[in-house]
Amino acid sequence: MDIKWPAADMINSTRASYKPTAASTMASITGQFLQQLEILPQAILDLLILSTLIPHFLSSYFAMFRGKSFDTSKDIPDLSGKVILVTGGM
Amino acid sequence: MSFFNTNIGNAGLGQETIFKLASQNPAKIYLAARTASRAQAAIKEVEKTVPNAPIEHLPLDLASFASIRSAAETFTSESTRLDLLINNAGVMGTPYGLTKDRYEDQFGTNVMGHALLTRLLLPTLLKTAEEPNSDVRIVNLASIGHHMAPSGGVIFDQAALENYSTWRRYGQAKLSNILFAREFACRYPTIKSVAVHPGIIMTNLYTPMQSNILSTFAVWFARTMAPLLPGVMASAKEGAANSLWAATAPTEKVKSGQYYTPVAYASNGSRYAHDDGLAKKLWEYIDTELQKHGF
Repeated sequence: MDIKWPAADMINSTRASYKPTAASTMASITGQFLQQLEILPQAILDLLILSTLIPHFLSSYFAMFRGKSFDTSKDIPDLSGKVILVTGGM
Repeated sequence: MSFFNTNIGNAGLGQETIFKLASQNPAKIYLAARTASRAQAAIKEVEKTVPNAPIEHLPLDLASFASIRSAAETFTSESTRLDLLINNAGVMGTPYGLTKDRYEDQFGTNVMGHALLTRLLLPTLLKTAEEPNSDVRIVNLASIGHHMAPSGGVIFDQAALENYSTWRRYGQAKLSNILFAREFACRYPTIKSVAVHPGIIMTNLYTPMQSNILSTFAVWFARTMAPLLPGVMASAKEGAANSLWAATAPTEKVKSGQYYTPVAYASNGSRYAHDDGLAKKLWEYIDTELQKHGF
């Protein structure tokens, strides 16, 4: 038995005529919101862990003033003859 | 992100590092990286300022022992010396997953990968160190993020790591980089081995962090507040300064086994970062694991 599929232009015309309703828009937004809620506990936990670094950031920040001045344009010596390997880099 | 960064596997610090080193006439620089197109683009960018810079791309995927073996073989077939190894690459904040060799992604790439690379290059490093007037160094990019390591410092059970936040896993990887540098310094005194924190640098390592609305907000907030503390969000140029200092400063100023924050500031790090027992345990774990894989 031959099965007749809807013509492509018919499908396209159906798609073109689709207009989101207020209900479908609300459903979409709600779905996205629930997706965020699902990962929220882990996200909050991650932020709490990251926030433990704040005092260390501040300590490191103020340590910059106790560190040494090093101008990478002037202070690197001649490296003639040296072979160097750097991982990563772009 | 190299908030805490580490390196920028492919995020800017490496390119800035090779650019500054290339400016000082080295015999050769190997840029060991996974993606050839990005490595070549970085090399071309450096060559705009340093024409004919002696830089060669060395294919390397730190998440694969086979790739690391291949890279080391290529290197040793081409060069009989290695004066400076900068273990700069890394990943950060990635979802739980395993490398090809069954290690948690961040630990496998940042720690096991670099440990194996260092191990395979060690004969060349030691041989170079025997030569007159040599000054062989290994700079390991660590991070202030090592403070986020879990209780106990390092969780060696790779499967158990699935139950830990990605930031705990990142923290233990960066802590391991510090401990590895410390233990290496004890075992190989002819080679200077240090760990450095590059500073807080917005690089593409932060991308995995923006996986949800809260963390996206956190990154936005950090970027917005950065101008209030000048220097907090450094550029790649500034971020490369600490590793370049460790790599090239007069040898008497750089202490082997030390962890430095920008620039040249000798830091104690966390309580785990100077735990010699933990450093030894990590070394032995790495040793055993590499032996299992035939190294």
